[in-house]
Amino acid sequence: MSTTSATTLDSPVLRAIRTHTQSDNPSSFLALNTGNSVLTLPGVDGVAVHRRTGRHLVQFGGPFAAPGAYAQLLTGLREHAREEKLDLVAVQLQRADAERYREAGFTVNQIGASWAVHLPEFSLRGTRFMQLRNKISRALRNGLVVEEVPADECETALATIDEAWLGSKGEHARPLEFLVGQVGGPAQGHRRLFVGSIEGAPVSYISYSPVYGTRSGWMHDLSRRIPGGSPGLMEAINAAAIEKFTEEGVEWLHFGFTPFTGLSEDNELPGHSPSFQWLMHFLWAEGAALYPAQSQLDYKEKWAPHAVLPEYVAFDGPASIAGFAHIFRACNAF
Amino acid sequence: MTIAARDPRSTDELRQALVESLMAMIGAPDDIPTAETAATTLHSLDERLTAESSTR
Repeated sequence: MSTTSATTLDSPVLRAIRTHTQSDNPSSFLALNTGNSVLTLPGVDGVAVHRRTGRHLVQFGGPFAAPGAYAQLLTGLREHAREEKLDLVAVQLQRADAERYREAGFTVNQIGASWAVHLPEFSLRGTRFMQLRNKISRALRNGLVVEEVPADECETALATIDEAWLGSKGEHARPLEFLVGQVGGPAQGHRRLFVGSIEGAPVSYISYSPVYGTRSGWMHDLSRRIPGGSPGLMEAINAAAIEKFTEEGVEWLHFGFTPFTGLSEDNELPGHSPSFQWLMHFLWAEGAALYPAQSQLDYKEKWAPHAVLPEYVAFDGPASIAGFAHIFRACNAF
Repeated sequence: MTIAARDPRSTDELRQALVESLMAMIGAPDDIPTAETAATTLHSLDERLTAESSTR
């Protein structure tokens, strides 16, 4: 058993997320984030990606593994956590993962959903998108120009946008990580970056990560803008990216995971915690201070997603408030 | 008799306590008594909600 860094591109992580797509995790590219740890086992085809925080081991997704290796990696990660005296909690499990974890004795609950647009069916025409078109038009009338650019050609501009964006979030704001994308680093060659500029000055950007599996395409990942600028910046950038992706024949544009959204009794598995289920509904309604799920979903729903994919959390033991809190701690939320 | 059956708090009070336990965990993530209190509250509420569901 070994644990290593996730990021080098000749690491088993990139090969695993490209090859072992049975769970169809649209966020699998986050496995390559800097700061992740990776568990591998000798002679076992796959990886388990995780972060240690406090007395918890927080796993991202299920094992990205060959069908015959999945259970071995899950068992290996459980043993690793127990040896380290850590409580294991897994997040962003897809439905197929969730069923495997339940069978393995975990307590599994829906924690939210991810949202995706099927590009061959998508068009901005029609009254449904009138407001969205108006916002995009306003941004373009204000001089916005959208270009796809290599990240290494605009590092300073991106840093300026990031700094202004974070500054607008308040004195104690911290940039989230782990379950959100990154720009730069060894994995950047696989991402795509669309930058919006006004009068030559970059004011906003969206980074897109590759998505593998049956709903392959791109994931609308990290996005930032300088606060107080023109309305419609992000919408105009995304519309430009959609136009390009559609020309290329891309099938799916994913908007990624939003906690506390898309909750449904139908998505829960036997043995789930009713308290935790109630808590997710409460946080959807009242939990903006913990995570602004409603405003995040507002943005995603503007694009009328065709697919809502439930995502799950799994606790190795009973459902745990401490385990749940440590998912956010692993994300640098506190 | 289960823990939930002994717990004198109403279901709404248990729900409120669950939310407060989450806030407490965020405030003191390494505090073991806080984690234990949260675990007890969640367990009590799980049993209460399961019992209420079965009587509907």
